[in-house]
Amino acid sequence: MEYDDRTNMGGAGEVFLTTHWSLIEQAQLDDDKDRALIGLLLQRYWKPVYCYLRRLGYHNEEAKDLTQGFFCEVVLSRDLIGRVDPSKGRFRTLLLHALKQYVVDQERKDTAQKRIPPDKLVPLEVVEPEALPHTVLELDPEQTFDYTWKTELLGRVLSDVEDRYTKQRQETYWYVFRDRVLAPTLEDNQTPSLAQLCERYEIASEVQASNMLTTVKRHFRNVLREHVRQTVLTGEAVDEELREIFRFLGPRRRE
Amino acid sequence: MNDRHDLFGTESDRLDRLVSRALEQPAPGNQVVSPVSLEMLLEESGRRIGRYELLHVLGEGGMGVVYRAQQDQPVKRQVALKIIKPGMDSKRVIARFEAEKQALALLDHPNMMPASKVVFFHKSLFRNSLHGFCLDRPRVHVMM
Repeated sequence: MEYDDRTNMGGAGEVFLTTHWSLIEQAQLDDDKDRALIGLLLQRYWKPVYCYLRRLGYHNEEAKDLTQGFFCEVVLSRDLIGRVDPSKGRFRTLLLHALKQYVVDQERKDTAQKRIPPDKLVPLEVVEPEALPHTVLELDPEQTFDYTWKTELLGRVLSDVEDRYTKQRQETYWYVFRDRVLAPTLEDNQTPSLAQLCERYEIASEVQASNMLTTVKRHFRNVLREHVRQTVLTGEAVDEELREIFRFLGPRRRE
Repeated sequence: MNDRHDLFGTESDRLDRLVSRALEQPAPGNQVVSPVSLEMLLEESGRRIGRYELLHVLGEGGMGVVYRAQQDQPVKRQVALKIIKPGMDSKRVIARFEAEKQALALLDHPNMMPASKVVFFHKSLFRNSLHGFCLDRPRVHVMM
């Protein structure tokens, strides 16, 4: 499904999107929203930033301090919005660029903890082991940032999809998707046949199981696009971003 | 934070395979269709299609299901509503549907019902594109 993100609200031809960009703009106009916003941005982006810093060689506590400092001092306090390149429009790209600059600046300054007002501190739920996974250690810092962003994005998408079917008491839909798509890919489990799924979850027919799977896949695609759409400036940039995140989708075709 | 689906540490190519499989849709020739899938879609739509509230199934053919439906606007009446099954909305099937409607329009017999209206519902109204035509009497005698 293609999203129609244009509306007449606010004037003809305006793009009506709730993106991370617009959230930042709101926070800059209203100090009270600082804390709520930084909470949201930290939730969405702390891990790519933190892992990037770890791969640069910072220890756990240093990386946590720098992550806090980066969000408080750069993302909110500086004119990050002014750096937007509409032709790219990726929040992730700009964030990484700003992060690199911030790290260079910090080489000559005190630790981040000392400069952040206590009321701006948001606890980072860093429960990762001190040693990063083997997969991450094979990547350079920039690849680590992108990889972590990708895993967080997919995790949120999968949670949203599962939540939808759980809330609607249609757990079987989710189970079919999980057993048929998730588990075989992530855990090298053998893909169960539709007949096995029918028996496992008391589904009336293979046709019904197949249709359940198709329904969840369609929802997955929509949720994935919606999450990506929140991080780009235009609806058109969604496909480009998806192609960059998932290489198997292929490069953008030149017109 | 998301703990239920923590993919951190999973190999990148495995993540790609996961998304590839999740986005994969059945090929048109292999798409499985049945009244069951239609029922599932109707459940999600609140059993309404546009101005018609579906009451119950009257009959089923190879490519469509006929429902008794309650119409509220512009007049209140019960109609028979034929819906092409999801996945059967190819040009060929739609053309056949049109031909069927044309044939019905030419025939006049007390045991047959005239086709009163052809409705093409927009895709956004329903998750799959559905096409139907209403028959103005709540009984079905569709020539296939």
